[in-house]
Order: sequence, then structure tokens, then C-alpha cells
Amino acid sequence: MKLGINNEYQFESKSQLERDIKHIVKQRLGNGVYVSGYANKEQNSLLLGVYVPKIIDDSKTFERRIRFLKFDPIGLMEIEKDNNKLKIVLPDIEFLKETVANKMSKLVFSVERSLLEKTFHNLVRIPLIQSALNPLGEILIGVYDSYKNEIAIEKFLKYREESKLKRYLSFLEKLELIRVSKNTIVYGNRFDAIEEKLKKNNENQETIYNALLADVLSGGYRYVSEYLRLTAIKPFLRWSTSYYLPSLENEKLMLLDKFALIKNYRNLYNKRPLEAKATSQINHLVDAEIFERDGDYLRGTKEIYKGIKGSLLT
Amino acid sequence: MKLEPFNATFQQEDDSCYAVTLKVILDKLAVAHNKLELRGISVHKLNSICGYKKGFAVMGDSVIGLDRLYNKYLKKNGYTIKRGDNGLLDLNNLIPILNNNNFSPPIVSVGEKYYTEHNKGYHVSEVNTLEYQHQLIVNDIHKDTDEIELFDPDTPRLRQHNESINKNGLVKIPISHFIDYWDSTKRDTIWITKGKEEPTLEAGQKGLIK
Repeated sequence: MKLGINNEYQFESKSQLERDIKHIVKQRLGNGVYVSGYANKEQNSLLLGVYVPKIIDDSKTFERRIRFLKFDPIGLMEIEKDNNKLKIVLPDIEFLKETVANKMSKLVFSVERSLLEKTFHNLVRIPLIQSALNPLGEILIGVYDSYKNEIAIEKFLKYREESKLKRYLSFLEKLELIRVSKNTIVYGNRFDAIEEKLKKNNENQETIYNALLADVLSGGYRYVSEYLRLTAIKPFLRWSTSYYLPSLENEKLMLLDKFALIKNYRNLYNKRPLEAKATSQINHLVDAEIFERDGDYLRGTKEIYKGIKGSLLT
Repeated sequence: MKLEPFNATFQQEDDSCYAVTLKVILDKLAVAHNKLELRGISVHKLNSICGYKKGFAVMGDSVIGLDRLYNKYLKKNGYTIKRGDNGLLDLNNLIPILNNNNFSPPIVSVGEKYYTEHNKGYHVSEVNTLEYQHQLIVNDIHKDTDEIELFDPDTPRLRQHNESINKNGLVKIPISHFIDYWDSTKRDTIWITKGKEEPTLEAGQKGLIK
């Protein structure tokens, strides 16, 4: 059966192949890799899947859980006929690893997206994010203060370059928060709707402002992060993901200390955050009610956990 | 040979037990045979030749990894690697390895039950096809007390859960339990021997112990 240390294996019969291939795959591609079945009716190719273990520790109870994330399929092996024998060439393991790494990144991204959708109202309360959103906020405040009167674009040119200002205006117009005519801007439909809704609930001006910024984030996060380079939001989303993703994997809200959270961050993003920076960013997330404190430990909120539960599908 | 006395190295990552156990037995051989070249093979180098990527220990070509270790470091120093799995070995095969000073202590793979039964507070979510594997090194077999003594490279973290685990990483468990954990990995076992014969790296090879 063996053809030396290369990637080709030859089998006398289909039954021999079916008996031995599982073990060969575990030895040559890894003990988490398995043959998930034939790829088609003709039974001339096999599909591969993988179980990737995640070790999840609860800092307070010391409870450790090993959970397996399943990615299937990650690759395919053709069964070739060679005289009366069957031949299989194993796929390149680096390619398989890359496929799995991509699938894992997609999973992290999908949790980040869900967290953003569920927490933008909280995120805009963080001063760093507020100041990063300032250029957009200034325009929205200007429009808000003008009480539905038209406002000259020129007014904003004092503070911003023209090209940048144009980008902000067209972005806010796309979100229907403002309407832009040649030299002036005015309330957009969406701005109206948000304000009306909040006024009914007797909300104050600051809350209305935050609601508008939250709307900017939820409606145009991709634009905000990519085109306006709003990098300020990134670390906060990453800290949230470093808590909520393992909790989703563990199927309950966990109690983590700062060091466990830093370890999760390092594992997910392959970056070492500075401890002082981490402390300050985590404190902001507590203030914004994305995390809660329980003595020395951090815990997520039930509401956010429930809201993002569906995002873990691999 | 037995592992004790030895310099313990512990794993820094959740899933780097493979390279760490290789490091411990290479260090042991280096001291026992006065072969300092073997001490220079760091965990980092071992991870690299085994194709280790953090978080991806379940994906890797163990045959190629061992082949590289042999060709790059062991062959020129007069050592070879032996591997037995696919249910070929039993406990009696481990005793001559432990009693022969030309053989390193054997690295054995154990399945997930090792965690759940021996370390309080561990839970493993159920999967049908995979046994989560962990690498341990056999130090001694005490048939009289029905115990096997093993080195566990994950000791610092396991001690957080179970203080009865010795600081130097040695744990004693009943032989019957060990056989159960070892069985779930098809009794995958690796050891290094002094000598110039060809290594046995793949599954299903017989005549491993001479």
C-alpha cells in the first residue's frame, strides 16, 4: 500500500482503501482531519473535514472546556484508477491549513459584525469612538441646530478640507440622514424619523446625538471603517469578540479576568495588546455596558449574548 | 531509559505538547549520552520542522515532521526514530524501551478521556469521530501497584485545577485507565534510539522493537 514518504498511496481494492484511508489521513494530514465521505455518486473522490479544538477556561470556576469547531469540507481527494489498483494523492497540507484559517477568520468576522449590530448604541458612548466620529457628528449637530432650515455647506469648510467634507456629506446623504443640494444641506428622512421617535420618549439632545451616531455606525460601518479609516472602533470590537466568541463556544456567559481576556485576544488576532492600553479599553467597555464587573472578573450581558447567538454557525 | 532525573520543559501554548515532549526526550538523551548537539534543538525549531501553526496542532503531517527531525538532526548524531501505532504495541513493549539505555523514554499519545477523568473541571464537547490527543512521556511502569508514571507537559495549567499533580510534571495513574486513553489513539508511540537503522515513521510497520 505504501509508496514511501511522498503524497501518493496505492490500494489493491476499494475495501482496502476504505479501511486504511482514515488512518493515513490522520497520520499525514493531522489527527483532527477526517474523511467525511464520497464527494459524488460515482464515488471517485473523497471529501475531507476537520475538527479544530478550542480550549476555553473560565477564570473564576477554573472550569475548562474543550470544544470542537467543525469545518467541512476543507478539501477533496481524487481516487484515480492505475491498472487494477486505486491511487490517492494527498492534498497539500499548507493549502488545507489556509482554507481552515480563512474559515476561522470568517467566523471571527461574522461575530464582529453581529456584535457591532447589537452594540453600536453602547459603542458610541465611548469617548474615543465619539471623537473619531466627530467630523460626521459636527455636520449632524449643525443640521440638528438649524431646525429644519437649510444650512450652507460653506459653514463646515472652516474646519474641513473640501474633498474630505464632500466624502462625509455624500456618505450621510446615502444613509438618508441629510439631503444635499448645490450649496446647502438639510434634514434627511432618516434623521427626521430618529428624532421623532426619540422625542416621543422625551429623550434629551445628547441621546439624540448618540442615536444618530449609532445609526451612522450601523448603516455604514464598512464605509466608516474602510473609507473614513475609523480605526478607533476596531480594538473595542476585538475586545468584545475576545469575550463573546469563547462564551458562544462555551454556550454560556463566562467569568474572565483581564489576563484571560488578553490571552483570548492574542489567540484570536495574533497580536499582543499592551496591558495598560488593554485595561483602559476594557474599562471603557464596562462603562458602555458591553461588559459587567463581578469582583475581579468580567462578564458579558445576557442581552448581547442572546442577540449574537446565531453568528457562530461554521 | 526512564525519564527521571530530567529537565522539565512545559508547553507555553494550548496545543504545543508534541514539540515539547520531543524536546524533553532529546534533552534527556543529550545528558545521558553526553551529546550536547541534541540539546541545541529548541522547541521553536521542533515546532518549525513539525510544521506547527498555533491553534492548528490538529493539522500536520506527523510522518514528514519526524522524517525532517531524523534527516536534519538525528541521523548525523547516530540516532533514529521509531514509531508504533495502529494498535501494534502493548504495555509489555514499553518495558524494554524503559530498560534500555540506548532508547529514549517513549512518548505516548492519549485521548480526551485523560483530561476529563483525571483533571477536575474539564469538559469535552462530544464529537463522534475525533479523539482529542495529548502527548505524555512514560517515566516508569509499576506493575506491582498497577500504576504508570507519566510526564505531562501541560502541568502548570493542570495544577490550577488539580493540586495533586506534582510540580515536576510527573503523574501516576492506574494502568487500566492509561490503556483506555492510549487505545483511543491507536496506541501511537514514538521513541528515539541510538543506532543507524532506518526510521519507522508510518503506520502499520512491524518489527519495531529488536
